[in-house]
Amino acid sequence: MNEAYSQIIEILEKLANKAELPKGMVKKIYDLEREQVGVMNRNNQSELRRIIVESLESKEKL
Amino acid sequence: MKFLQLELSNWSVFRENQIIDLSTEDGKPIILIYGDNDKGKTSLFYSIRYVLFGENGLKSHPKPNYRELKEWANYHSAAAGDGEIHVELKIQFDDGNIKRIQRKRKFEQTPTGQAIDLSQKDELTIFDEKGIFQINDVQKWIYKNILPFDASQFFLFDGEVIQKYTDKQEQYVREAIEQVLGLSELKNAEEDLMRLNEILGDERNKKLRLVTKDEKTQRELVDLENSISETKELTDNAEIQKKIALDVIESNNKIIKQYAELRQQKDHQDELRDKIANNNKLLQDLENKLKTKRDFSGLLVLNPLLKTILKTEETPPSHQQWESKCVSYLLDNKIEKCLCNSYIDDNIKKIYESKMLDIRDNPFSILKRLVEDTFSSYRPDGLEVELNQIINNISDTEVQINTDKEAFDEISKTIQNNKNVGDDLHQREKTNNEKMKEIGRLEEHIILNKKRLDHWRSQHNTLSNKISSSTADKELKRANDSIDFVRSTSGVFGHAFNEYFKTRKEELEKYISSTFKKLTNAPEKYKSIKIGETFEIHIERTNGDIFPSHNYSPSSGAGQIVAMSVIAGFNKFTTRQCPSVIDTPLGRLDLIHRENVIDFYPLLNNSQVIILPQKGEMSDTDVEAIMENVSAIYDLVPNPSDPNQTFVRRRR
Repeated sequence: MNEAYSQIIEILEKLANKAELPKGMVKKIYDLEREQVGVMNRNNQSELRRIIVESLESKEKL
Repeated sequence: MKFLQLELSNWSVFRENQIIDLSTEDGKPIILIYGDNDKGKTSLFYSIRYVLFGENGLKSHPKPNYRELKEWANYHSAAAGDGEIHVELKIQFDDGNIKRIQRKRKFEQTPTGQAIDLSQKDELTIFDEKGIFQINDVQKWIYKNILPFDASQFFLFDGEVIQKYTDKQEQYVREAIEQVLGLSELKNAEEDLMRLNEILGDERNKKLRLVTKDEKTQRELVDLENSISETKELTDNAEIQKKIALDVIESNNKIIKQYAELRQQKDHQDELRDKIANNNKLLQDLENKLKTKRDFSGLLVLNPLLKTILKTEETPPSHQQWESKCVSYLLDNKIEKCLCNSYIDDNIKKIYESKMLDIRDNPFSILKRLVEDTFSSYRPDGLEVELNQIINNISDTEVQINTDKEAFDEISKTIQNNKNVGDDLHQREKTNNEKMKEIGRLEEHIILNKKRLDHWRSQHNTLSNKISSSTADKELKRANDSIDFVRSTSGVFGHAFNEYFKTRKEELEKYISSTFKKLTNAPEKYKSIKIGETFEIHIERTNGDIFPSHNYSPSSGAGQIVAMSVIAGFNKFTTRQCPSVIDTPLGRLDLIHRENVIDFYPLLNNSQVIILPQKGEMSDTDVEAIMENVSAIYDLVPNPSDPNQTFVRRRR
């Protein structure tokens, strides 16, 4: 991935860190949304939910 | 990412299969493909847009009829019965992976032979080294892995129309910019997470009721949930109706805009009609003038005579010698035409003969006087200049008339193809007014319902918190945690959008400003280019004055320079990867801007820049400065045995 992409991920991870959220999760969500840009009806609720549940579980384990 | 190869057949003037090797070497990102007008340069450009986005990719064509695929099917193949459009693009991704995207569509001539019928839909296939690359939705794969459609306008563009970005931006341009810069993902994630939170909230409420033992509290919760659910349904319905109304307005606006464009073209056609009539009159006047001037054309012959006389005077001859010189000059040179190429007719010859008689009588003095008198009255040197000027004017006027006639016919064709557009214009405008009023009512309704929702949700939360604090139910706690977690996550994406504007936008502005200063011929006049919150463009002059770009552009060329700088910024700051393909790269630029833009092209895109100039647009001398960055040069040449077909020939 290119520099501009890395910069956005960096911004997201910095903010996630501040909000005590897992860094990997925001990247996963961003990439999920990347697949749906320009698509008329986005259909990613179940995948989004899966990422949230997994991340919440891993946060709880910590 | 690089485009490695383009293959096409039955596409516009490319009837026979053509394969263009687009691979580039390191440090040489440029491919030049030269073509004259009507030789397939723009067709080649649109074939790339077609293979990636189908018929949608053609919608950016400035002429409405070329936005339809049937216009691109090879006419001669159709005339012969049928054929198949075939365009294939081979792409190398940054990880080395190679894929071929192939798009095909069958076509045939209609029974009357007047038009072309296309088969129902494109056959779109992606191949990798193993064969067909199996995916559910090939088009979505292209949006994800190459470019979303709206974003493509910043990578695959026509140099002549990019100044539209300096016009007042429409919503779709803003969305395209957000796609290119990777901001759509942030906005969409925030929106999707908020939607997920609503679902989680509803689920939590159900759980809450299950753990509550107190009947009164249960009733309160049920009442609140019912109110929330009903109001939410009402709000959702209002949102849907609002969207439908907006879609109707947008669709009407497209037709209204198309009609306005057609009106503009019609006005332009009227101007052309007047211009052609005026030029025809001018042509007639010029031809009459030429005829009149030709009557004096014999005077031009006197020029060499005078020179001979003067020479004779310098070395005084006998009268016989002089006479002999004059006559031999005229005979030897067999002067039949004057300098304007007009034939010296019998009338002129008669005058001439009379002069010869005069010569015989008194060759030296009479002729010398005649020549001098004539020169002082008519100035043959001036006459020659005047005649040449008239001939040039005639030629220019004829060319102008032909060009205007072609443009006139082209507009007639466009108007004919869109003759029904605007029939129901008043109805559409009326509908738009009604829909606007409806949207106003719906928005009031939505705002009111959202206030109600907030109120009920807040009551529900208070109650939920009270119950939650008094219960040890694990599932309920978990549901609450999930809601908080998703809310925080959604907030991160919302903040990230704002954070981008604080940090990256400033860098983007700097890059665009420095590019603009490299490209403009008057860098001392400008301080910077500013990008607004909704990506509107402002030009800041050195004296501190700031102009919105649509008020700044002193000419289309200047607008093109601003637009090119902005596009360069988007190419640099994009989270996507795609080569740049530019049709008519220098558009309407003047000489200095042309040089600046050509020098800049190797820096426009990190991976590859494919440029399609007209032959006169970028000469060999023009591209000399960037020749070390050029991997290949192609020419689009007509087939000698069939001028309606074009071949692609590699020059180097």
